[in-house]
Amino acid sequence: MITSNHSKTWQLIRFLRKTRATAAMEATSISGEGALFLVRWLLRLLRTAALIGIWNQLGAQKLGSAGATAAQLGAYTVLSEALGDVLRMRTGMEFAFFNGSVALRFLRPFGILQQFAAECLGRAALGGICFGLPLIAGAALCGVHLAPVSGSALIWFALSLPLAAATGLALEYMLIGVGTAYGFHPYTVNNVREAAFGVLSGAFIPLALLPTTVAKVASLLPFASQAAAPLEIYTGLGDPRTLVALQLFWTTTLWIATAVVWRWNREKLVLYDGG
Amino acid sequence: MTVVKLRKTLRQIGRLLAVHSMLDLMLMTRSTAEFWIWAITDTIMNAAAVAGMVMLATRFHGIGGWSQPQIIFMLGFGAFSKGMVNLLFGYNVSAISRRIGRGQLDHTLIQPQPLWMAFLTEGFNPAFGLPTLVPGGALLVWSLAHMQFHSGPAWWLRFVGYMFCSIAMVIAFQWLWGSTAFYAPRAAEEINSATSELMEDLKTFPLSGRSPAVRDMLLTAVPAGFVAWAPCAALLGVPGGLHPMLAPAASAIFCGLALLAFHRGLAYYQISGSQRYSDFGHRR
Repeated sequence: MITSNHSKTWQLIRFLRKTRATAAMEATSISGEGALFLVRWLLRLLRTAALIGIWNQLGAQKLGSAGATAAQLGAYTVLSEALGDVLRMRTGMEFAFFNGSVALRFLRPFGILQQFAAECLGRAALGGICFGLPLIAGAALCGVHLAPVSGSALIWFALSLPLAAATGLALEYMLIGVGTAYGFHPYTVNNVREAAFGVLSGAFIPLALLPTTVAKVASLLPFASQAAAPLEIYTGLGDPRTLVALQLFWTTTLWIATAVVWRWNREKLVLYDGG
Repeated sequence: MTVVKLRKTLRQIGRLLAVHSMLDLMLMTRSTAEFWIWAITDTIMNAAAVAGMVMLATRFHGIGGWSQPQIIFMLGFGAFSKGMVNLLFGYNVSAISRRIGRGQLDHTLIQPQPLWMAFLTEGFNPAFGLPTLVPGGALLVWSLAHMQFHSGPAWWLRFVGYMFCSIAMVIAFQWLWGSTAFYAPRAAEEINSATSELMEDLKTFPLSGRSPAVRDMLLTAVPAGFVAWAPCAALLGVPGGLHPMLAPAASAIFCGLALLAFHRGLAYYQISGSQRYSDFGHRR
C-alpha cells in the first residue's frame, strides 16, 4: 500500500516535471527568437484601448439597457486580453498532424495530448508575464477599476477559470481530432474555429452587448463557457452558479466526446503524415 | 517605343493572370469538396471578422456619432477590401514574410520576369478569392439601401479610388513588416499573420471621438484607420473625419516605405541568401 502510494506520488512528480520542462521549452522557443514575438501583444494592447474607448462612447444609458456599466466592461476587456492565451487555448496540434512533425512527438517520453497542453501552459505563462501582468498594472494606473465585484465572485472566478481552460482544451482536441481524421486542411479547421470563437465566445465583445437572441443562444454554447463565463463572474455580469454549472456540463461532455473521437480515429491519425 | 513596350507589358500581365486563373481552376477541380470547404470557411472567416461590430452597431443603433447603416457601410468597406486582398494577393503574396522566411523567394527570382510582375500576378486566385467578396458586398448593398444618400458616378469613382488606397495600405503594411523576414527568416516567418490579424481587428473600430493617443496610433504606427474608417468618413461625409486627401497620401507614403524596406531587405538577401527552406504553402 505504501509502495503503491509512493509510486503514485512519484508518477505525479514526474508528470509535473515533464509538464514544466515542455512548457519551458515552448516559452523559450518563442521568446528566444528576438523581440518580434511582441508584435502579437501590440495588437492586444491596441484592441484593449480601442474597445474601452467604445464602451465609454456608448454611454451609461445604452449600456444600462444591456445591464452593464463602462467600468464593468473596461475590467472585462482588460481581463479578457490579459488572460487571452488561457481563454483561447490554441495548441497548434492540427499543423503537427498536417506536416507530419507529430511523428517526432511520439518519440518523446510524454503523452501527445499532455505535450500540447503543456505547450499551451508555456505560452500562457509567457503571455501572462510579458503582457498580462503589465497590462493589468497599466490599466489600473490608467483608472480601470479591476477589483472583482465581490469576494465570493473572486472565489467563483478561481473555480471558473480552470474550467474555462479545460473546456477550451477539450474543444480544441475534439475539433482537431475530427478535422484531421477527415483530412481537412488545418487552415480550414482554424478558420471555422476562429470565426465561431470570435463571435460567440464573448472574449472580444461581451455577450451582454450582442442582440438579445444572439446573446441568449451564444451563452449556452461551449465557446461562452470557454471565455465569457469567468469574465462575467469576475465583473458581475452573470450568475456564477449558472455559469459554473454550464461550464461543468460542457467540460464533462466535451472531454467524453474527445475521448470517443480520439479512440475512434486513432489509427487514422497515426497513419496520417501530412500528404 | 515606350507605348509598344507598355502594350507588351500589359499583354504579359494579362497572360500571367490568365495562367494563374487556370492554375486556380485546376486546384478547384482537383477536389470540388475541398474547394467548397476552402471557399466557405474563408467566407465565414471574412464575415466573422466584422460580425461582432455589426451586432454591436445593431444593438445600439450606431457607435460614436455614426449611425447603424454608416457603421455597417464601414464594416462592409473593410470586409470588401479584405476580400480584394484575398482575390489579388493570395498564395502568400500579401503574407510575404512566409515566402521570404521559408526560403521560397528563390522560386520567384529564377523566373524570366520582373519581380514586381510576378507579385502582381502570382496571387491572383479568382476561384478561391471571389466568394470572400460576398460578405463585404452584401454589407455595402444593405447599408447603401438604408441610407438617405445619393451615390452618382463621381461618388462611385471616389469609392473605387478609396478602395484602391485601402488595398494598397493593407499590402504596404504587410510588406513593411514582412521584409523583416529577410534578416530573421525563422523568427519573422509568421510575422505577417500577426500584422494581418492586427489590421483585421483594428480596422473595424470607428475612430471618431477616440482619445487622441489611440487615434494617432491607429493612423500612424498601425494605420488601420486608413483601411476603412478614414475613407468611409470621406465618402459618407461623416463629421469628425480627416481631410479627404489624407487617406490616399498615407497609402502612398506607406507604399513608399514598404518598397524601400523590401528593396533593402532584398539587397541584404543577395549577400546572405537563405539558410532555410520549407515548401509549406508553395503552390506546386
